[in-house]
Amino acid sequence: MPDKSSPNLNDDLIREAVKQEIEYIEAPPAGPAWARIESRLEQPRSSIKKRRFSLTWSRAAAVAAACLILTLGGIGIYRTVDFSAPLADLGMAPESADEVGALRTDNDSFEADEPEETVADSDRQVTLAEADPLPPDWPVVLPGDFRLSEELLLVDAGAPEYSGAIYHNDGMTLLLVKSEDPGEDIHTFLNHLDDHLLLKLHDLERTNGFIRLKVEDRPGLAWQDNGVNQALLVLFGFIPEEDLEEIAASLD
Amino acid sequence: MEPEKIARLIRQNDVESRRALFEAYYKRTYAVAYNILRRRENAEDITQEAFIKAFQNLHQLQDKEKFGAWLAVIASNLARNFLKREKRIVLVDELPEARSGSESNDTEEAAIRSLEVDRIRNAVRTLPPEQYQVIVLQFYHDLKVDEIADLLKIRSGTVKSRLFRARQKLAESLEPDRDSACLNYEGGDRENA
Repeated sequence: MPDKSSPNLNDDLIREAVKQEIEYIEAPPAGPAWARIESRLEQPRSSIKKRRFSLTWSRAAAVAAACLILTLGGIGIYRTVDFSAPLADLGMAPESADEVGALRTDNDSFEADEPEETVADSDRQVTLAEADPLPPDWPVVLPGDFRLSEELLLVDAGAPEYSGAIYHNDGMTLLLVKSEDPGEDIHTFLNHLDDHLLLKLHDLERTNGFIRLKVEDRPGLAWQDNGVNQALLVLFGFIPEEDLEEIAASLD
Repeated sequence: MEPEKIARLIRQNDVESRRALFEAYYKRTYAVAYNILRRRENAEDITQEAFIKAFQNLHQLQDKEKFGAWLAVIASNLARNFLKREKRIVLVDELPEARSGSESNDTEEAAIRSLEVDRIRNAVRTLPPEQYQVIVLQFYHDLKVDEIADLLKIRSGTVKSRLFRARQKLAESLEPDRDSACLNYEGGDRENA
């Protein structure tokens, strides 16, 4: 198919170029790679479980923060954290992905290494599509040195899609969510967020322009900024409400 | 590998079947990761991780014949996530020279085509990962827009727009007086291109 923007560009040329780009690359020897893959695949779950107790508390706490995200409300936001990622992402020293993965089996409801985007539980399916095509411009660092760990897209049948981001800081985990629908009522947004996360959001109270809420016993805030609904939830760790407000204010 | 054989190996999903699938798809999966990351060690790690995820979730693959494309999506998603985390800048002028695919061609027409293919190859290297991903799925795995959207869990319109933008960039590489798409690329940052 000729391309409008260039008389020379056609599908055959692109196909040939892409084919060469893929097939002319010299890959490292397959043998060692397969040995490592086979070793990982054959690793029994029972031995994986044992190893989690050998981790230091700080590491465990940080990973538990991520696990908590996955298990809150009984379903978890699966895939919000890529456990294969270097632990530097969780604010920890790097260690083997095996050890990180080990903690995933902490909760039976959380099945390790599902495909990239989807998780199912007994009642429903929650899909986390990639945070595209037009993700919000998440700040990399929030006040309190919370660092962006993962972007996500909350997708659920019957509810609008919301973009989210996970932030970590030394065992504390925040979830920041934005609505893509600028005309949405904030209470509708919170109801949908409740549906998305299966988190019970309660104790709603409106002060200082924020709706204050509780996620389990942890604080959360919701507010509107230029008609865009946003929520900031503490998923793990203790963060005072005033600190949350400071973070929320920094997002304006 | 024939589609029927792929489907059979996936159904079996034993060590030998996995090994056969690995050997058949290792190089191209590595290539997809490498073309996004441009760093061998990282590409090797991502490739291994992609195979592990794929093998552990084979039961979720609906269309067994799309194993290669599915694996490419897993690998490219992992590579994209890696790049996002690293916020790494890939300098285009650091890229290795494209190895010519038609060195033995001796006609003028073939030489021109070879030059065009090389220019497009260089331009492919500058595509943002999400555009590279759809280009590979369409032109290497021969998937239709809807199939790509289904695999990537994005809307068809998003696939189309990514393909359109990618084609625009590739077309620019063939513009006259353009010495090299690679050298003229603005910024050279695959993340933000």
